[in-house]
Amino acid sequence: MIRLTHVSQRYGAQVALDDVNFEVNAGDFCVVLGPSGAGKTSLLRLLTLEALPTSGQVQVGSFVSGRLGRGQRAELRRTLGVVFEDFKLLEDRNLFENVALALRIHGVWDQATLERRVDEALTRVGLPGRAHAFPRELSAGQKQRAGVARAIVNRPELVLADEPTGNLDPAAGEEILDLLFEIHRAGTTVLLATNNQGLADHLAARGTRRVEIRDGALIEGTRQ
Amino acid sequence: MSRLAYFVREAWRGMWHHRSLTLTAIASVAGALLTVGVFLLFTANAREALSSLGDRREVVIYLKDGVAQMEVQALCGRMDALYGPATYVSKQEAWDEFARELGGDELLKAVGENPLPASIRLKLKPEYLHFAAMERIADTLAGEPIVEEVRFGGEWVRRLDRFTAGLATINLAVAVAVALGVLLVVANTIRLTVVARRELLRILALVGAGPGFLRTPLLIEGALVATIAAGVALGLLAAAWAWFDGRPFALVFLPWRWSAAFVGAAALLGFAGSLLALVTVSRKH
Repeated sequence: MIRLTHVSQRYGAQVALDDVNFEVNAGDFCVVLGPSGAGKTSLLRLLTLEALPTSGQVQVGSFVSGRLGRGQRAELRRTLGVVFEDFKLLEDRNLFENVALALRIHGVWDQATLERRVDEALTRVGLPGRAHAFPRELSAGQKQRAGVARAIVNRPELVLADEPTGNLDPAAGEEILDLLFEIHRAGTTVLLATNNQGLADHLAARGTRRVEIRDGALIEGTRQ
Repeated sequence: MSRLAYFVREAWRGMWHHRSLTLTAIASVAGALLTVGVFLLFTANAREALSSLGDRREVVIYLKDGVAQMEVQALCGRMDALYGPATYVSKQEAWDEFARELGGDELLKAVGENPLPASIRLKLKPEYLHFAAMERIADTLAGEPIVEEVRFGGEWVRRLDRFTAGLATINLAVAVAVALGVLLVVANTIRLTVVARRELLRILALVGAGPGFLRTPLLIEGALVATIAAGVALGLLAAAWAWFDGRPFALVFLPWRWSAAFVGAAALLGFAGSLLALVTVSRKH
């Protein structure tokens, strides 16, 4: 599903990733743990092809970096679901519009289909009947649920979650993790990046694969 | 909601979000377009005046004395077919007309014999109402055996042509200058809009929006700004026309086709201005 081959990412003299080789197989739930500045964000930016590697090759699904134009990069992102730490909901639009946005980008324009699919996604994340609520009317946990709904509404094979519980209280964070596990159980590959050691330990206890990122290198393994 | 309706709504939403920026752009573009509108209004009125003068542009072919009527009719027939309606004026008719203009025929009686020649008055088709064509036609007709002389007020026609051409050149120059101004204003507005909406565009890009999805609302926005500005400029022009009409001259307003072309051209310029901005700015996404 994901393959990084001898990937390095440098910003001037600073090395974010250094000759990284890394694979995530279809069906994995992989947690990337590392302190702030360790290269997690660089890794995620490479996986969404927001950035291209300084050297090496990034492969996500059938898309390979280096040969992709803007249109193909957009096509790659349409095969992913991305969950952000700060939710990245559009504040001036209600939940229906926020979630339907991902569908419209996928080329779904039929209103009945949009309503049905958005309703399904919101119900799945525990926000049934909240389609007309605006983000400002929701708690942080509910906003993140909406963010997850937007990420999964297109039924992606891979979900990337960047500190999905970073802005949430423990109870809300646990609910989001439960949601991600449920999505994973349904067959979706999940890659979750976090700087929270306790969260990574907790997830490892639930059977996820853990990879640590330190000084630009990826180290496979679980540390209890 | 259809795709187009969605993009138009997104464009409108963007304009509403950045109201002050949008209003500034509309005011700037409307000001520039008003300049073109004033010149167009002047041109429309000049054309109106010229067309009434143009009605009086004719070629007069004076005939030799004693020409057979059949020859005259043949020449009139050829002129009718080639250049426009030809009217024969006999010696007697020319005499009567002259007498009417003088207010009596006492003086003319002293002259004795009618000295005026018979003539053909040729009203040219619109495509021949310029100096070069009139001169060519006059030369051709002067070579006819029954023709004594041809007159068409060459110098006057030449001046009229020069004035019309000058007006067209000024209009073109103003239109080009204003078009460039509109392009730059819209392009800068869209650039600022893109900067102001960096985060929104980044979110859309991360959710998988391709270049078309990102650009279309901005292109529509540029076209909408320019279209609204053109409407405002036309409104101001209409108000000015209503005020000046009849003080002291009666004025005509822009023909509806001109008004439609004015708005359409503005919309295209707005679209092109947005495109200009996006060619550089959207590379980041």
